[in-house]
This record gives sequence, C-alpha cells and structure tokens, in this order.
Amino acid sequence: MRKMNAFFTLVIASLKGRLFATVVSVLAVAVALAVVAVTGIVSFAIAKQAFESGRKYPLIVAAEGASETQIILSTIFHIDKPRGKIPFETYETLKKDPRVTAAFPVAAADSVGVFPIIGTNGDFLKDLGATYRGDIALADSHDAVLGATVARQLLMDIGAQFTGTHGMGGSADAAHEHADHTYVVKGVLDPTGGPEDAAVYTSYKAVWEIHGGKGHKGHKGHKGQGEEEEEHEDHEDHEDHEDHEDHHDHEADHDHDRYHLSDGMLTAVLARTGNPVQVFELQQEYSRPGLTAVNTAGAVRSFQKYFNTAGLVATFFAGLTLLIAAALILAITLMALDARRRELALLRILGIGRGTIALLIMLETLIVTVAGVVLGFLLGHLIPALFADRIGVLIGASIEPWHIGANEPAALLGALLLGQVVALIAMLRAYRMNLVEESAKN
Amino acid sequence: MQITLSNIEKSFRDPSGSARRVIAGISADIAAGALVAVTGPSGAGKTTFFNLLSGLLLPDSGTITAGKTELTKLSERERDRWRAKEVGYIFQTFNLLGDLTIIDNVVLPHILIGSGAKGDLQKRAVESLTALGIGDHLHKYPHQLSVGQRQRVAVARALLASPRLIIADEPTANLDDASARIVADAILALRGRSTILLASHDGRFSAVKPDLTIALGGEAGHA
Ligand SMILES: Nc1ncnc2c1ncn2[C@@H]1O[C@H](COP(=O)(O)OP(=O)(O)O)[C@@H](O)[C@H]1O
Ligand SMILES: [Mg+2]
Repeated sequence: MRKMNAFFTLVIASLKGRLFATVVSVLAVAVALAVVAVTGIVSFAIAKQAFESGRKYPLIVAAEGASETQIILSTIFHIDKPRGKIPFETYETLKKDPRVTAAFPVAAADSVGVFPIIGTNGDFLKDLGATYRGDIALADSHDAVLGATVARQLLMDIGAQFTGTHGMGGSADAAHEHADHTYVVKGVLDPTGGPEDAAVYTSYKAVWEIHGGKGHKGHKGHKGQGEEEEEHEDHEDHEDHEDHEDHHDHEADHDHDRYHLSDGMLTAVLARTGNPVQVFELQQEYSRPGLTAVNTAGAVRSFQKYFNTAGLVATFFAGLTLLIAAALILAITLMALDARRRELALLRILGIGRGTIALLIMLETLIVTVAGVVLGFLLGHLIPALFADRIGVLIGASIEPWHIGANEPAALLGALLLGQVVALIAMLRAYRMNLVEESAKN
Repeated sequence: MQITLSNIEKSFRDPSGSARRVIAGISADIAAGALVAVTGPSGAGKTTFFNLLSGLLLPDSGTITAGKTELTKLSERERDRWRAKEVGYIFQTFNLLGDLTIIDNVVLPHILIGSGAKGDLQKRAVESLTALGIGDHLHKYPHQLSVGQRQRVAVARALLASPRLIIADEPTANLDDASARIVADAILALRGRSTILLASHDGRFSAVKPDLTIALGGEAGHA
C-alpha cells in the first residue's frame, strides 16, 4: 500500500512536471466526449418532443410555402419563424368537423426577451394538461400566461405587466417594441418539460390587435401598426389609415410583413382526430392553395431520420477528435519518455525494475485518459445542467442534462480503450528502453 | 561486503562495429569495509567497472561474487533487487528527479524498493539532510538548489538504507569547495562499515590512503 502511494506520488509529480502537456491531453479527450454527451442530450430532448407532438397534434395546418420541418419547428418547437398566414376560418371549420376531436389556433409573431409569445386560446392551455397557478382562460386580449422557465427567468409572477417585441426573440429583426399593448400575467404554468416552459401565451386576438385590423378599434388608446399590411392585403378598414402612426422604417422591408398578423389570420391550426385514417383524409382535404397540411407523426419520422444523420455526423467527428486526442497523447507520452531517459535510468540505477518503470509510464498515460473521460462526462452533462433553460429555449424542448445518449457509452468506452492502447504502447516502449547502457555513456 | 572479481572482461561495440575491450581481465579480492580507489584516465572504463559491480551490466566473461551472492548468475530482476538492497550509488551528474521535492527524492525511491517503513525512512532522511546542511530545503525542488546542494541530497539518498557497498563515481567533480568537503567527509565516514569503491581526481580523497587501488586503462585496447 505504501509502495502504491509512493508510486502514485511519482506519477502525479511527473504529470504535474509537464502540466501543459497533461492539461492539453486531458482537455482533448474531454472535449470530444462532451460533444457526444451534449449531442445525445439535445437529440433525445428533440426526439421526445417531436414524438410527443405527433401524438398530441397529429395534424397541423399552416400556410403554403413552408416545409413540413419549418412548420413543426415554428409551431411545436417555437424556434423557426412562422412563415405566412392562414385565415381564421380554417380553424373554425376544422373545429366544427366531426372527425376532429380537438383544434387549437396558433398565432405567433412577437416575443418577450428570448421567449416567443404564442397567441392561442384557453382551450389550448387546458389541453396541455399542465398544473398551473392563477387563471389560464385567456379571456381578455391583455391576458397572458407564462411558462415556468419564463416566469423564473424574467422574474415575473401573476399581476406583472410587460410588452412584447415584434419578431421572434433575439433576432436582428426584433425591431420594435409594442409598447402600446401591455400584457398582464394572469397565470403561470408549472414546469412540464415541454416547449411550453419557455413560451408566453396570450389570446390570438391580442396578436390581431397589435398588428392592425379591426380588433384594435375596440380598445381605446391603441394604435395599430398595420400600415404596411394594407399595402399588400385587402382590408376593409382603409379609413383607419390616418389614425396610424408612421412607420417608414418598415416599408423598406418587404419580407417583414410575413410576421404581421392582421385581423382574422393565424399562423397555424393544431388538430387531433378520432383515428389515424382521418388524419390522412384531412391532410388531403386541407392541402389546397394557400394551405399546407402536415401529418405530424409522418413528418416527425423523416425529420427524425434527418436528425439521426446529423447526430451520427456529430458523433463521427467526435470520434475523429478522440482519435486525434489519442494520437496526441501518444506523441506527447513518447516525447516525454525520450526527454526523461536520464531520470528513468536513475530509477534503474536505484534498483527500480524495468517492469515498475513501464508500469509508471502506463499509469501516467492511463490517468490522463481516465481524467479526460471523467471530465468529458462531467462537462457533457454539467454544462447542459447549468444552461438547461437557455438550451431549452434554443432548441424548443426541455433537456434532461443527465440523460445518457445512445452513443455516449460507446464513446466513453472507446476513449478508455484507446487510452489503454496508448498506455500499453508507451509501456512497451519504456520497458524496452536500454536505460543502463544510456547511463553508462555519461 | 566482501567482493571477489575473477577475470572479468567487458567490450563495447563502437559505431563502426568493431569491438573495443574496456575491461580486460580484472581479478581482485575486496575485503568488507575496504576503501578501494579506482583510477585511470577519462575513458579508461571506471564507470563501466562500477556498472558491472552494481549489476547494471553483465561482464562478457568472468564472475563477480558479492558476499554470498554470485552476481553474474542472477537475472536482471534479481540484480535490480540486489542493487536496491545493497548498493548506494553516487555519480557525477543527473542525480535527482526534477519533479520531486528534495525530501521525496531521498525517501520515495527507498519506499518503492522496499528499504523500510515510511515513517522511519522519513525521519532518517530529515536527520541526514540536516546533517548535510540541506535541512532548510526539504520541500524545495532540485532546480532551486545549487549543484553542490543537489549532490549532498544524492549522498543522503545513497546512504539512507545503510548500503553495504557504496559506489562513488567522481562524486565531488564540479562542486563548490564547501559541498565537496561535506560530500567527501560523508563518504569517508563510512569506511570500515561499508565497502567503498571510489573514482575521483579530487585531492581531498588522495589525502586518505586506500586499502586497495584498481588501476584501469593500461590493458585496454582493440580486441
Ligand atoms: N554503452 C556503451 N556502449 C558503447 N560504448 C560504451 C558504452 N559505455 C561506455 N562505452 C565506452 O567505453 C569506454 C569507457 O567508458 P567509461 O566506462 O565511461 O570510462 P570512464 O568512466 O573511465 O571515463 C569509453 O570509450 C566509452 O565510450
Ligand atoms: Mg566515467
């Protein structure tokens, strides 16, 4: 035992003696493994969310021109910008359809901080099945309900007031604040682990009011900003024009109006049917000019395939990094071995055997790889744990920081195995060094 | 430790491939506790001779018997163990491990080769280092010490387990006067208790009459 202690003291001293090389080696392994871990955590969270959405909202109807993936990203994950608008009556007819058991309106356009504001109705929130505090009926166009992460991050609770920013959060075109439309927090959802944690919900009517249209006439002191909308769309309330304030900055940007929702428009309708066959029927019926109908489960499957490929590519590069790290460690170890010939010869002269010296070298290398593996595992899970909220907003799905992804055990084991191989090579080299002859020459 | 050398020979191949005999048929009887001066010009084979006597190298022919052990019959591993137990080796340069503190340099190798209990070794190391004037530098690293101080540490390490054979290969070369005196005194103090093989051009040692002188270099030539 005492010998073991002395042995380790020697190993640690030597690793500390070339601290820079040791740190670089450990980090190289750790970073490669952390990438695998994070990829696993993120893809698992997205896959779970995607699967869940296919079950919950098997049919999504959105505007024509967007891909199925874009539609799922914007309506379910809230991470892509909504593309185009659909008439409100799409929602009304779907809701009345006997094959449809539930339908929900979605009108997204604004954000508060990094969090998207989703215009919908109280039915949608009740359907989430989440527990909550306060009131989630969204009866008034100024009512808002916060996801758990939003409430925590923005330090808001029931009764708090806020205004939205036009455009999706964080982007360059989050150009102006809708300071004239103040929301009042009426309810706060408990954490669900879904995208609703990082979302703000208001009535779709609020979105209409803000972006112009008749809705706003009912509210005194509200100034619509739909000026540019009217250049592109036929609206009956042209007489409102003189009430509007000028927003010349908008007129230059023609793309901009896509995110403006005027009266009677939605970005999507989420729907559930009695059975899967009806999803196909409805998908056929609603795939018509101006609309895209998405079979969510089907789209998620192909989306999943794409995502698995992306995960595989990430894992491949992580594997490559790992190989490079192993080669680096081998090179560093062999170089260090050469530089230490005299010291090792000294150990031999003191009566320390060839085998012990070889073991010493092996242990040094092994400690570096094991440290890299441990650090990689910790970084790969602690970083997601520390930034869970932020990552959740970024990918639109809550992550489980300690989830072990499908490729992670293989990567960890592979790293240990590679480390063992490198250690054995170094050990053999050390064993075969003719240190005594070396020392005899000085 | 009584040592008997019987007609030992050792040759090296130089880069051109021809063999050069460095140790040419040496026989000697060395009494236990004797002080042996090993003399000869540079390149005469003194270091090679020491490496043979410490079991680091095997002679091409001839036998070396130390005490009851016939060294030339042992395997490398057995010679390692024998050397660890019986030999204190002090040489001219590169004597310490740069990554270890002074105290660890003295104690750790002895723990690894099983010289004794850690507490006991530690205690004796501190005493010895203090006696050699290194007591204030126990937790420093070799590069923080002068060459002379480092050699004193090497002496402390070599003598820690009271070896029965002390090999000192130019132990005071390149040392400051004070250090050279301390090192020489420490080695000579063991005369009578340990067998001492010494190669040195230092006048401090020539003042002491050796029990035996082995002169190398005379017979060396191309074989
Ligand atoms: N491992 C070795 N391989 C080849 N030649 C060696 C080796 N060790 C020593 N020699 C040669 O043997 C001769 C004696 O060297 P050495 O024993 O170091 O002499 P000294 O210590 O008396 O100066 C030198 O010519 C040296 O080059
Ligand atoms: Mg020499």
